[in-house]
Amino acid sequence: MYQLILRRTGRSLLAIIGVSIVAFIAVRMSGDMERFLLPPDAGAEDFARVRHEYGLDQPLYLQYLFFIAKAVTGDFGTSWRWHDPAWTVVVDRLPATLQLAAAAALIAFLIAITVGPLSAARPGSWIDRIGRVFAILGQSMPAFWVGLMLIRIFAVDLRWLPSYGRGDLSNLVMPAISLGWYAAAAQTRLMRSAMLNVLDSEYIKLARLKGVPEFYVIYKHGLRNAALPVLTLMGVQWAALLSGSVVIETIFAWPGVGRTIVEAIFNRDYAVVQAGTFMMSLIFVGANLTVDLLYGVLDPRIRNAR
Amino acid sequence: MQDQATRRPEPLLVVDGLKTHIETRNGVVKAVDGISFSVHQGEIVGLVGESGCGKTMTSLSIMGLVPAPSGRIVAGSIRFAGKELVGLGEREMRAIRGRDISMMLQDPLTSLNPVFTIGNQVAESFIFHRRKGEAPRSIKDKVVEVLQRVRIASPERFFSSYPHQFSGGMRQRVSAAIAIAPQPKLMIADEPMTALDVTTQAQFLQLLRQLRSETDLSIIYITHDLGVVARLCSRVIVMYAGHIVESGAVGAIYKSPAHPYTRGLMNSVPRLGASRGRLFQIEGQAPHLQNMPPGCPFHPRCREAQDICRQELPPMTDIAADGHRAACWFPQKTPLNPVS
Amino acid sequence: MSDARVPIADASAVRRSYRLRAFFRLPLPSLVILSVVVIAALFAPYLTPHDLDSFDLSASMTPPFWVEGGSSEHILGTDNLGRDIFTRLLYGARVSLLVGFLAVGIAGTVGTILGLVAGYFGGLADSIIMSIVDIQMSVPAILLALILAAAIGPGLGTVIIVITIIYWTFYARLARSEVLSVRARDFVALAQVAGCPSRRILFKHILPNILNSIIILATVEFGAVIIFEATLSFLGLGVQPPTPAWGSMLADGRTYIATAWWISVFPGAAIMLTVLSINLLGDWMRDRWDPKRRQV
Repeated sequence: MYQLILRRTGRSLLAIIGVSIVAFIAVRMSGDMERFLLPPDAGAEDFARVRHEYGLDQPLYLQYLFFIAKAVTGDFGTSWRWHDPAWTVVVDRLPATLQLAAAAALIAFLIAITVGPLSAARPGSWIDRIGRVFAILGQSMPAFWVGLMLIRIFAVDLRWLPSYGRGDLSNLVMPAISLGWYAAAAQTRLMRSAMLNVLDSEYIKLARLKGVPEFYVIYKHGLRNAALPVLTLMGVQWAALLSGSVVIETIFAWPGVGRTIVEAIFNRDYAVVQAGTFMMSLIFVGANLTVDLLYGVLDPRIRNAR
Repeated sequence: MQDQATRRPEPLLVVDGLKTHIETRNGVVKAVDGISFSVHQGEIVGLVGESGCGKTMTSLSIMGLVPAPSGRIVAGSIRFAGKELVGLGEREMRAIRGRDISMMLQDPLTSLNPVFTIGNQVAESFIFHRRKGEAPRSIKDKVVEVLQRVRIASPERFFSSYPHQFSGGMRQRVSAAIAIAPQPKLMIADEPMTALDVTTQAQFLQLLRQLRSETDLSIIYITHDLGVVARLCSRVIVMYAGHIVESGAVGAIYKSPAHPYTRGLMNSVPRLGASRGRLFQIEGQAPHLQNMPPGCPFHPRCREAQDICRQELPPMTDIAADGHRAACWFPQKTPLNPVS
Repeated sequence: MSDARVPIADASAVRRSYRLRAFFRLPLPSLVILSVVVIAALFAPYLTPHDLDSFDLSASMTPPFWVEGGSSEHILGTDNLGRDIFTRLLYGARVSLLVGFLAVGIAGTVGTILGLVAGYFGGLADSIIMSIVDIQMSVPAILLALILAAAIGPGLGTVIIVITIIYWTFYARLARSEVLSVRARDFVALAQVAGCPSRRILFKHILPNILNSIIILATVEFGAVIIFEATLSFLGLGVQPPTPAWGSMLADGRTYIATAWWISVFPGAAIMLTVLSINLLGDWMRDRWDPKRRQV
């Protein structure tokens, strides 16, 4: 188990380094670095100062090491747009993104955990059919479109929910649903097929032979086993949720990291782009590690593995 | 009801004319096609036959777990302790299943849920089957006690272990514990030793015999291993293609099997002390249960087959007064000679 | 002896009848919708009376013809600049399909070849290729896209490059695992023993055997790619105006969601119907050719 965690952590570190290289090279590729670090009206001596200060007169690999050395201390430079350290700008917006992603993940999981087993227990029943239609629709609708439609229906026509901003729970409902929609569809599908496999197994047969009521057969014996592949999917889906949050935050004017990155790209505020990208990768990698650990909790075979 | 069950002549389980059919995309599979047998209290009956002959479907019929909606009991009756099980509602059936009739499955590795502790899984047998008026005792004590009964040393230690931490033999003991935990009257063991090695098999047989004598448990032992039947059972039922072809006391049948199929089975078992020679093998394949030949199901593979065998299904007839019966138009009367 | 043959003959008859039925269970609505989209993309200029670039501010935000105030001249209404939405939808299909085909094609080819190499040769090639895949898969795709788009600058080429870079990994993984299972089979060993050169074994013996799975994956990914393109366009990082793309049309309509729903509803519906059809087609193909991978 510890070896497993160690191995996974190693891979996660590699991933972060990978992102940092991409972020580093990308920003270098996009032209004169110093232009992004300085306000548009900066003079020539400012350029020279910044070039030296940021080590831009050094070879590329040294620049990268330099960048990493600063990055690990949380120094990504100053956002010219916000006049704050880029890392602070991103950290300030982190809670909003986490809240949104968590709410979406929760919605997706709740739907999957109710609809998935029910449709697997009775393949072909009405709930199974509705679930399948919902799943295939979910995979075909772009999240931002779902968001816009929700805004039109619930904010414009019915006036039930606010259409933008972050505040109380009513602000969270629509962004979370539009973001969780796709994840819910994929999870429900996987939960259904995993459950079908599990329900076919000998231990389910034995549980029924023991006279265990069907409810417990499905939700105790079945769910715990079927949850394992779904959990893996959820780890992968954190990527999708974070990716999606970039769009959803933009639509609902949700003050999170994703929207900040998009704005920063258009503002050429590259310090924030790098800091934000770094932050996102950290969350992502952290989520994957958490899933690995949870796996150990749910599956004793892994917990005891050497 | 109580006194019916205890009166000796009335057997614990009476299966009469049972037919369980399964509908598939291309026709009806007659998995069990009109079988009748009975099991007495405290008796161990061997149910023998090749895979796919209907042994497992017979046991699922008794347990009320014929896979719906494709599978269905189309005819016959199953009476258990005087109560008709065919047509019983799911709720009533569940009160009997696992409590009065329990079952052991082939492979304990796959039949134990990998993510729950042994204690948890054994405890379920108690949790869902509290008997009325039973002294309320902590479930854990009961679990430990039943683990002791299947001869698991230091059960407290194993209580919170997971199936993958056990050896095959230990796992099968745990399955046995699960099966006997609710103190059933009848236990169906479906090839429970397939996954065990020979030494462990011997220990496990010993355990089954002990359990039988300790609790007066009846056991239906499903297998294709005639050696095990000889060591464990008092009576044997031989099935072929959804039919019973022969039944009777183990001694009688082993000495002079009447049905050609049974003779074939006996001849294919290697015997210690028998002279060396070719091991007998039944020619041909078991028929597909979808397109059964008319007449005796065994006739395409039978050397003795005559015209009548191809036309009419032979009824079960008495071979001897001791309950030895067979379904064959030309039953063999001569004792089986291993040196043939 | 004769009845030994019975089950075998039976099984093939079953399989034949099953195939026949599966064939007639073609996802017809999907095929119709996809044909419409392809025709729209190919013949856009001939299917509409309007010019792509023509706009008429005086007729801006005209609703669809069945809504009060709509006219038959603009059957699906006009946007904020008075451009005909129907016309732009037709042209928008070009972007979606172009990006879909090119990105899936390039990513599929590159990924499959790298996967084949990794699976067949193993060793160092395998470790390098698969660690790139692993690392890349643990980076959120949209971040990669955002950074790359910011670096290269937005545009059609960028979208295709970005999507290719993100999606090749799926093919590489699939191709590799398929190769590993195919390689173990006898005919490959036979070819090797016969002294067949590696390249020939890979492309003549192994590739045909794994092509089914690759094509099914490509179909499923096609839908995902269209959504991804729409997302990038929606964020303004995709195809640049005035070229219409469904995603950027949606972005235009976002501001007017309260007053002119049709500007954003129709492009969204176009995306949904197209992707839905592709997904249904993909499901059908998977059930038909690859039952073991169903529903994953």
